[in-house]
Amino acid sequence: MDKLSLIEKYFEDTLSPKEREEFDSLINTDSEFKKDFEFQTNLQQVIQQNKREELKKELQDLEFNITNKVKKKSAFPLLKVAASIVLIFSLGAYFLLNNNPTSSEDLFQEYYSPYENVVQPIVRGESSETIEFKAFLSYEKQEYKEALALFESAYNNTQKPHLLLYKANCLLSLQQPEQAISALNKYLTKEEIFKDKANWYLGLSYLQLNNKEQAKKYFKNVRELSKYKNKEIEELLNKL
Amino acid sequence: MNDSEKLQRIKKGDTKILREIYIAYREPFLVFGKKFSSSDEDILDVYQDAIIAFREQVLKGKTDDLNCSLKTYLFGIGKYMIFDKNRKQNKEVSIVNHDIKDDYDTVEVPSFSDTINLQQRQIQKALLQLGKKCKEILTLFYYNNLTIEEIKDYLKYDNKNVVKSQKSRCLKQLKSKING
Repeated sequence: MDKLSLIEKYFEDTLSPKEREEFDSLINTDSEFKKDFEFQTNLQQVIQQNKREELKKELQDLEFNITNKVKKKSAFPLLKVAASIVLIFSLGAYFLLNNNPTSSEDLFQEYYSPYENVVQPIVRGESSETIEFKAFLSYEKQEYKEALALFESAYNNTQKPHLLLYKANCLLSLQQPEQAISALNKYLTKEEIFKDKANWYLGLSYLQLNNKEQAKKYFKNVRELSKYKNKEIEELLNKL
Repeated sequence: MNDSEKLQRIKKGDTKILREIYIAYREPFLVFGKKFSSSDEDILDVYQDAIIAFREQVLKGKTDDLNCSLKTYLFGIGKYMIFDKNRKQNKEVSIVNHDIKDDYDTVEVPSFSDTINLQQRQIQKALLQLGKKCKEILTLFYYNNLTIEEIKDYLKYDNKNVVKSQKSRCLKQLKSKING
Protein backbone atom coordinates (compact mmCIF):
# COMPACT_ATOMS: atom_id res chain seq x y z
CA MET A 1 0.00 0.00 0.00
CA ASP A 2 1.32 3.48 -0.84
CA LYS A 3 2.28 5.84 1.92
CA LEU A 4 -0.36 8.46 1.31
CA SER A 5 -3.13 5.90 1.56
CA LEU A 6 -1.69 4.72 4.84
CA ILE A 7 -1.99 8.19 6.33
CA GLU A 8 -5.44 8.54 4.86
CA LYS A 9 -6.55 5.29 6.47
CA TYR A 10 -5.05 6.41 9.76
CA PHE A 11 -7.35 9.44 9.77
CA GLU A 12 -10.27 7.31 8.64
CA ASP A 13 -9.50 4.93 11.46
CA THR A 14 -9.64 2.03 9.03
CA LEU A 15 -6.07 0.66 9.29
CA SER A 16 -5.88 -3.12 9.58
CA PRO A 17 -3.53 -4.45 12.29
CA LYS A 18 -0.92 -5.21 9.65
CA GLU A 19 -1.20 -1.74 8.10
CA ARG A 20 -0.97 -0.26 11.57
CA GLU A 21 2.38 -2.00 12.02
CA GLU A 22 3.60 -0.64 8.71
CA PHE A 23 2.39 2.82 9.72
CA ASP A 24 4.22 2.72 13.05
CA SER A 25 7.46 1.58 11.51
CA LEU A 26 7.37 4.27 8.80
CA ILE A 27 6.80 6.97 11.40
CA ASN A 28 10.04 5.91 13.08
CA THR A 29 12.15 5.41 9.99
CA ASP A 30 10.88 7.62 7.18
CA SER A 31 11.26 11.33 7.95
CA GLU A 32 9.32 12.40 4.84
CA PHE A 33 6.41 10.23 5.94
CA LYS A 34 6.54 11.64 9.42
CA LYS A 35 6.55 15.18 8.08
CA ASP A 36 3.52 14.46 5.94
CA PHE A 37 1.66 12.95 8.83
CA GLU A 38 2.47 15.88 11.10
CA PHE A 39 1.31 18.34 8.49
CA GLN A 40 -2.05 16.63 8.27
CA THR A 41 -2.36 16.45 12.04
CA ASN A 42 -1.72 20.18 12.25
CA LEU A 43 -4.26 20.79 9.51
CA GLN A 44 -6.80 18.79 11.47
CA GLN A 45 -6.09 20.88 14.56
CA VAL A 46 -6.54 24.13 12.65
CA ILE A 47 -9.81 23.06 11.05
CA GLN A 48 -11.03 21.91 14.45
CA GLN A 49 -10.13 25.26 15.97
CA ASN A 50 -11.93 27.13 13.18
CA LYS A 51 -15.04 25.02 13.47
CA ARG A 52 -15.07 25.51 17.23
CA GLU A 53 -14.80 29.27 16.95
CA GLU A 54 -17.47 29.32 14.27
CA LEU A 55 -19.97 27.44 16.43
CA LYS A 56 -19.02 29.41 19.54
CA LYS A 57 -19.83 32.68 17.77
CA GLU A 58 -23.05 31.22 16.47
CA LEU A 59 -24.10 30.18 19.97
CA GLN A 60 -23.04 33.53 21.44
CA ASP A 61 -25.21 35.25 18.84
CA LEU A 62 -28.08 32.98 19.81
CA GLU A 63 -27.52 33.61 23.51
CA PHE A 64 -27.36 37.35 22.86
CA ASN A 65 -30.76 37.16 21.20
CA ILE A 66 -32.28 35.06 23.97
CA THR A 67 -31.04 37.34 26.76
CA ASN A 68 -32.06 40.49 24.96
CA LYS A 69 -35.53 39.25 24.20
CA VAL A 70 -36.08 38.52 27.87
CA LYS A 71 -34.83 41.95 28.86
CA LYS A 72 -36.85 43.81 26.27
CA LYS A 73 -40.00 41.94 27.16
CA SER A 74 -39.83 42.76 30.83
CA ALA A 75 -38.65 46.34 30.49
CA PHE A 76 -40.87 47.91 27.87
CA PRO A 77 -43.95 45.83 27.10
CA LEU A 78 -46.09 48.87 26.38
CA LEU A 79 -43.45 50.68 24.43
CA LYS A 80 -43.31 47.79 22.02
CA VAL A 81 -47.01 47.97 21.35
CA ALA A 82 -46.80 51.72 20.89
CA ALA A 83 -43.88 51.29 18.54
CA SER A 84 -45.72 48.80 16.38
CA ILE A 85 -48.72 51.09 16.12
CA VAL A 86 -46.49 53.94 15.01
CA LEU A 87 -44.82 51.56 12.57
CA ILE A 88 -48.11 50.44 11.06
CA PHE A 89 -49.19 54.02 10.52
CA SER A 90 -45.91 55.17 9.12
CA LEU A 91 -45.70 52.16 6.81
CA GLY A 92 -49.17 53.01 5.56
CA ALA A 93 -48.18 56.60 5.03
CA TYR A 94 -44.98 55.48 3.38
CA PHE A 95 -46.78 53.39 0.80
CA LEU A 96 -49.36 56.10 0.14
CA LEU A 97 -46.88 58.89 -0.27
CA ASN A 98 -43.86 57.24 -1.70
CA ASN A 99 -44.01 55.55 -5.05
CA ASN A 100 -40.57 56.59 -6.20
CA PRO A 101 -37.83 54.01 -6.42
CA THR A 102 -35.83 54.12 -3.24
CA SER A 103 -32.47 55.84 -3.26
CA SER A 104 -29.31 54.17 -2.03
CA GLU A 105 -29.16 56.50 0.92
CA ASP A 106 -32.68 55.53 2.02
CA LEU A 107 -31.89 51.87 1.64
CA PHE A 108 -28.75 52.30 3.69
CA GLN A 109 -30.68 54.01 6.45
CA GLU A 110 -33.33 51.34 6.34
CA TYR A 111 -31.02 48.35 6.53
CA TYR A 112 -27.98 49.50 8.43
CA SER A 113 -27.63 48.81 12.11
CA PRO A 114 -24.22 48.56 13.76
CA TYR A 115 -23.09 45.00 14.30
CA GLU A 116 -23.86 43.98 17.84
CA ASN A 117 -21.13 43.37 20.35
CA VAL A 118 -20.88 39.60 20.43
CA VAL A 119 -17.27 39.49 21.46
CA GLN A 120 -16.90 41.31 24.72
CA PRO A 121 -19.95 41.15 26.91
CA ILE A 122 -20.12 44.26 29.03
CA VAL A 123 -20.59 43.36 32.64
CA ARG A 124 -21.10 45.95 35.27
CA GLY A 125 -18.43 45.98 37.95
CA GLU A 126 -16.03 43.98 35.84
CA SER A 127 -12.52 45.05 36.56
CA SER A 128 -11.12 44.77 33.03
CA GLU A 129 -10.05 48.20 31.98
CA THR A 130 -8.35 47.26 28.75
CA ILE A 131 -8.57 49.49 25.71
CA GLU A 132 -10.64 46.84 23.98
CA PHE A 133 -13.10 46.86 26.86
CA LYS A 134 -13.37 50.65 26.77
CA ALA A 135 -13.85 50.54 23.02
CA PHE A 136 -16.83 48.23 23.34
CA LEU A 137 -18.19 50.37 26.13
CA SER A 138 -18.22 53.44 23.89
CA TYR A 139 -19.53 51.35 21.01
CA GLU A 140 -22.50 50.20 23.02
CA LYS A 141 -23.17 53.77 24.10
CA GLN A 142 -23.11 54.70 20.41
CA GLU A 143 -20.21 57.08 20.90
CA TYR A 144 -18.67 56.07 17.62
CA LYS A 145 -15.96 58.72 17.42
CA GLU A 146 -14.47 57.66 20.74
CA ALA A 147 -15.02 54.00 19.95
CA LEU A 148 -13.25 54.37 16.60
CA ALA A 149 -10.08 55.74 18.18
CA LEU A 150 -10.15 53.05 20.86
CA PHE A 151 -10.71 50.20 18.40
CA GLU A 152 -7.81 51.49 16.34
CA SER A 153 -5.38 51.46 19.21
CA ALA A 154 -6.75 48.18 20.56
CA TYR A 155 -6.16 46.64 17.15
CA ASN A 156 -2.62 48.00 17.00
CA ASN A 157 -1.92 46.45 20.38
CA THR A 158 -3.55 43.07 20.02
CA GLN A 159 -3.92 42.47 16.26
CA LYS A 160 -7.25 40.76 16.90
CA PRO A 161 -8.92 40.73 13.47
CA HIS A 162 -12.50 41.11 14.69
CA LEU A 163 -11.64 44.58 16.03
CA LEU A 164 -11.40 45.70 12.40
CA LEU A 165 -15.01 44.71 11.91
CA TYR A 166 -16.11 46.95 14.74
CA LYS A 167 -13.85 49.74 13.53
CA ALA A 168 -15.60 49.52 10.16
CA ASN A 169 -18.95 49.76 11.88
CA CYS A 170 -17.89 52.93 13.69
CA LEU A 171 -16.77 54.38 10.36
CA LEU A 172 -20.08 53.49 8.74
CA SER A 173 -21.98 55.13 11.56
CA LEU A 174 -19.79 58.18 11.08
CA GLN A 175 -20.52 58.18 7.33
CA GLN A 176 -17.00 57.38 6.23
CA PRO A 177 -17.69 54.49 3.85
CA GLU A 178 -14.35 54.56 1.99
CA GLN A 179 -12.42 53.96 5.17
CA ALA A 180 -14.95 51.38 6.29
CA ILE A 181 -14.33 49.49 3.06
CA SER A 182 -10.61 49.43 3.57
CA ALA A 183 -11.00 48.20 7.17
CA LEU A 184 -13.36 45.44 6.01
CA ASN A 185 -11.06 44.35 3.22
CA LYS A 186 -8.21 44.23 5.67
CA TYR A 187 -10.34 42.11 7.99
CA LEU A 188 -11.01 39.62 5.20
CA THR A 189 -7.30 39.05 4.70
CA LYS A 190 -6.89 38.14 8.39
CA GLU A 191 -9.61 35.63 9.16
CA GLU A 192 -12.97 34.51 7.89
CA ILE A 193 -15.04 33.71 10.90
CA PHE A 194 -17.24 36.71 10.19
CA LYS A 195 -16.80 36.58 6.42
CA ASP A 196 -20.54 36.81 5.81
CA LYS A 197 -20.90 39.78 8.13
CA ALA A 198 -17.92 41.55 6.57
CA ASN A 199 -19.47 41.12 3.12
CA TRP A 200 -22.80 42.41 4.40
CA TYR A 201 -21.17 45.57 5.69
CA LEU A 202 -19.13 45.94 2.51
CA GLY A 203 -22.41 45.90 0.61
CA LEU A 204 -23.82 48.57 2.90
CA SER A 205 -20.66 50.67 2.55
CA TYR A 206 -21.09 50.71 -1.21
CA LEU A 207 -24.72 51.57 -0.75
CA GLN A 208 -23.64 54.55 1.28
CA LEU A 209 -21.32 55.48 -1.60
CA ASN A 210 -24.26 55.12 -3.97
CA ASN A 211 -22.46 52.37 -5.89
CA LYS A 212 -25.33 49.97 -6.44
CA GLU A 213 -23.48 47.49 -8.63
CA GLN A 214 -20.74 46.87 -6.09
CA ALA A 215 -23.30 46.75 -3.30
CA LYS A 216 -25.21 44.03 -5.14
CA LYS A 217 -22.04 42.04 -5.67
CA TYR A 218 -21.31 41.89 -1.94
CA PHE A 219 -24.89 41.11 -0.97
CA LYS A 220 -24.77 38.19 -3.38
CA ASN A 221 -21.55 37.06 -1.71
CA VAL A 222 -23.31 36.96 1.64
CA ARG A 223 -26.08 34.87 0.15
CA GLU A 224 -23.46 32.40 -1.12
CA LEU A 225 -21.71 32.23 2.23
CA SER A 226 -24.49 31.77 4.74
CA LYS A 227 -28.04 32.50 5.75
CA TYR A 228 -26.97 35.70 7.49
CA LYS A 229 -29.53 38.50 6.84
CA ASN A 230 -31.11 36.24 4.27
CA LYS A 231 -34.46 38.03 4.22
CA GLU A 232 -32.96 41.50 4.12
CA ILE A 233 -30.72 40.55 1.23
CA GLU A 234 -33.56 39.22 -0.87
CA GLU A 235 -35.44 42.47 -0.29
CA LEU A 236 -32.44 44.62 -1.03
CA LEU A 237 -31.56 42.79 -4.23
CA ASN A 238 -35.13 43.29 -5.42
CA LYS A 239 -35.03 46.99 -4.67
CA LEU A 240 -31.64 47.67 -6.21
CA MET B 1 -37.52 13.84 16.55
CA ASN B 2 -35.83 11.24 18.75
CA ASP B 3 -32.24 11.38 20.01
CA SER B 4 -30.75 9.15 17.35
CA GLU B 5 -32.33 11.20 14.56
CA LYS B 6 -30.83 14.31 16.14
CA LEU B 7 -27.41 12.67 16.27
CA GLN B 8 -27.72 11.73 12.60
CA ARG B 9 -28.38 15.34 11.69
CA ILE B 10 -25.37 16.53 13.66
CA LYS B 11 -23.25 14.03 11.76
CA LYS B 12 -24.44 15.55 8.52
CA GLY B 13 -23.02 18.90 9.63
CA ASP B 14 -26.37 20.46 10.57
CA THR B 15 -25.87 23.31 13.06
CA LYS B 16 -29.55 24.25 13.22
CA ILE B 17 -30.21 21.15 15.28
CA LEU B 18 -27.42 22.20 17.65
CA ARG B 19 -29.12 25.54 18.17
CA GLU B 20 -32.38 23.73 18.90
CA ILE B 21 -30.66 21.49 21.43
CA TYR B 22 -29.02 24.57 22.95
CA ILE B 23 -32.37 26.24 23.47
CA ALA B 24 -34.12 23.07 24.67
CA TYR B 25 -31.71 22.34 27.54
CA ARG B 26 -30.53 25.87 28.35
CA GLU B 27 -32.81 26.41 31.35
CA PRO B 28 -32.25 22.93 32.83
CA PHE B 29 -28.51 23.40 32.42
CA LEU B 30 -28.61 26.74 34.24
CA VAL B 31 -30.35 25.03 37.14
CA PHE B 32 -27.95 22.10 37.02
CA GLY B 33 -24.89 24.38 36.80
CA LYS B 34 -25.91 26.34 39.89
CA LYS B 35 -24.69 23.43 41.99
CA PHE B 36 -21.14 23.99 40.83
CA SER B 37 -20.82 27.62 39.84
CA SER B 38 -22.36 30.86 40.95
CA SER B 39 -22.42 32.99 37.85
CA ASP B 40 -25.01 32.49 35.11
CA GLU B 41 -22.59 33.92 32.65
CA ASP B 42 -19.92 31.35 33.46
CA ILE B 43 -22.45 28.56 33.27
CA LEU B 44 -23.70 29.67 29.88
CA ASP B 45 -20.15 30.06 28.60
CA VAL B 46 -19.44 26.48 29.64
CA TYR B 47 -22.74 25.35 28.17
CA GLN B 48 -21.68 26.69 24.79
CA ASP B 49 -18.35 24.89 25.01
CA ALA B 50 -20.17 21.73 26.08
CA ILE B 51 -22.32 21.88 22.93
CA ILE B 52 -19.14 22.24 20.86
CA ALA B 53 -17.46 19.31 22.60
CA PHE B 54 -20.66 17.33 22.27
CA ARG B 55 -20.67 17.82 18.50
CA GLU B 56 -17.10 16.57 18.30
CA GLN B 57 -17.87 13.44 20.26
CA VAL B 58 -20.80 12.77 17.95
CA LEU B 59 -18.60 13.26 14.87
CA LYS B 60 -16.00 10.91 16.31
CA GLY B 61 -18.64 8.22 16.65
CA LYS B 62 -18.46 8.24 20.46
CA THR B 63 -22.22 8.40 20.75
CA ASP B 64 -22.92 5.53 18.36
CA ASP B 65 -23.74 3.12 21.17
CA LEU B 66 -25.02 5.68 23.62
CA ASN B 67 -26.55 4.03 26.66
CA CYS B 68 -28.04 7.19 28.10
CA SER B 69 -30.09 10.08 26.75
CA LEU B 70 -28.56 12.84 24.70
CA LYS B 71 -29.31 15.25 27.52
CA THR B 72 -27.53 13.14 30.13
CA TYR B 73 -24.51 12.85 27.88
CA LEU B 74 -24.44 16.60 27.20
CA PHE B 75 -24.75 17.43 30.89
CA GLY B 76 -21.92 15.00 31.66
CA ILE B 77 -19.66 16.96 29.35
CA GLY B 78 -20.90 20.20 30.87
CA LYS B 79 -20.23 19.07 34.41
CA TYR B 80 -16.69 18.08 33.57
CA MET B 81 -16.10 21.42 31.89
CA ILE B 82 -17.44 23.46 34.82
CA PHE B 83 -15.01 21.62 37.12
CA ASP B 84 -12.22 22.28 34.71
CA LYS B 85 -13.06 25.96 34.54
CA ASN B 86 -13.32 26.22 38.32
CA ARG B 87 -9.97 24.51 38.69
CA LYS B 88 -8.36 26.97 36.31
CA GLN B 89 -9.85 29.90 38.15
CA ASN B 90 -8.75 28.36 41.45
CA LYS B 91 -12.14 28.38 42.98
CA GLU B 92 -11.57 26.30 46.06
CA VAL B 93 -15.21 26.44 47.06
CA SER B 94 -16.19 24.14 44.28
CA ILE B 95 -14.04 21.29 45.53
CA VAL B 96 -16.66 20.39 48.08
CA ASN B 97 -19.16 20.00 45.32
CA HIS B 98 -16.97 17.67 43.32
CA ASP B 99 -18.27 14.90 45.47
CA ILE B 100 -21.79 15.20 44.20
CA LYS B 101 -22.36 11.87 42.54
CA ASP B 102 -24.80 11.64 39.72
CA ASP B 103 -25.26 10.05 36.31
CA TYR B 104 -22.87 12.44 34.69
CA ASP B 105 -19.51 11.14 35.78
CA THR B 106 -18.39 8.77 33.08
CA VAL B 107 -18.20 11.04 30.08
CA GLU B 108 -15.05 11.60 28.09
CA VAL B 109 -14.32 15.16 26.95
CA PRO B 110 -12.01 16.42 24.18
CA SER B 111 -9.38 18.86 25.30
CA PHE B 112 -9.70 22.56 24.54
CA SER B 113 -6.31 24.13 24.17
CA ASP B 114 -5.64 27.48 22.53
CA THR B 115 -1.95 27.06 21.94
CA ILE B 116 -1.04 27.00 18.29
CA ASN B 117 2.30 26.06 16.76
CA LEU B 118 4.11 27.76 13.90
CA GLN B 119 2.98 25.38 11.19
CA GLN B 120 -0.60 25.65 12.39
CA ARG B 121 -0.38 29.41 12.11
CA GLN B 122 0.87 29.07 8.54
CA ILE B 123 -1.87 26.61 7.69
CA GLN B 124 -4.46 28.95 9.17
CA LYS B 125 -3.33 31.71 6.84
CA ALA B 126 -3.08 29.48 3.78
CA LEU B 127 -6.55 28.04 4.35
CA LEU B 128 -8.01 31.51 3.79
CA GLN B 129 -6.83 31.43 0.19
CA LEU B 130 -8.18 27.97 -0.54
CA GLY B 131 -11.28 27.47 -2.68
CA LYS B 132 -14.67 26.59 -1.27
CA LYS B 133 -14.69 23.03 -2.63
CA CYS B 134 -11.30 22.25 -1.12
CA LYS B 135 -12.31 23.57 2.25
CA GLU B 136 -15.46 21.50 2.16
CA ILE B 137 -13.65 18.26 1.40
CA LEU B 138 -10.92 18.88 3.97
CA THR B 139 -13.49 19.72 6.64
CA LEU B 140 -15.56 16.64 5.89
CA PHE B 141 -12.49 14.47 6.12
CA TYR B 142 -10.59 15.99 9.04
CA TYR B 143 -13.41 17.39 11.14
CA ASN B 144 -16.58 15.47 10.38
CA ASN B 145 -14.41 12.35 10.26
CA LEU B 146 -16.11 10.96 7.18
CA THR B 147 -14.23 8.31 5.22
CA ILE B 148 -13.40 8.88 1.54
CA GLU B 149 -16.20 6.46 0.70
CA GLU B 150 -18.68 8.44 2.80
CA ILE B 151 -17.57 11.74 1.27
CA LYS B 152 -18.13 10.23 -2.16
CA ASP B 153 -21.74 9.45 -1.22
CA TYR B 154 -22.25 12.74 0.55
CA LEU B 155 -21.05 14.83 -2.40
CA LYS B 156 -22.71 12.45 -4.88
CA TYR B 157 -19.59 11.54 -6.82
CA ASP B 158 -19.59 8.35 -8.88
CA ASN B 159 -16.16 7.25 -7.91
CA LYS B 160 -14.17 7.44 -4.73
CA ASN B 161 -10.95 8.06 -6.63
CA VAL B 162 -12.29 11.46 -7.61
CA VAL B 163 -12.54 12.38 -3.94
CA LYS B 164 -9.14 10.89 -3.21
CA SER B 165 -7.38 12.84 -5.90
CA GLN B 166 -9.26 16.02 -5.14
CA LYS B 167 -8.26 15.79 -1.52
CA SER B 168 -4.59 15.29 -2.34
CA ARG B 169 -4.74 18.19 -4.81
CA CYS B 170 -6.11 20.40 -2.04
CA LEU B 171 -3.34 19.31 0.32
CA LYS B 172 -0.75 20.11 -2.34
CA GLN B 173 -2.27 23.54 -2.92
CA LEU B 174 -2.19 24.22 0.78
CA LYS B 175 1.45 23.22 1.04
CA SER B 176 2.46 25.29 -1.96
CA LYS B 177 0.77 28.37 -0.47
CA ILE B 178 2.82 27.91 2.66
CA ASN B 179 6.12 27.32 0.91
CA GLY B 180 5.54 29.70 -1.96
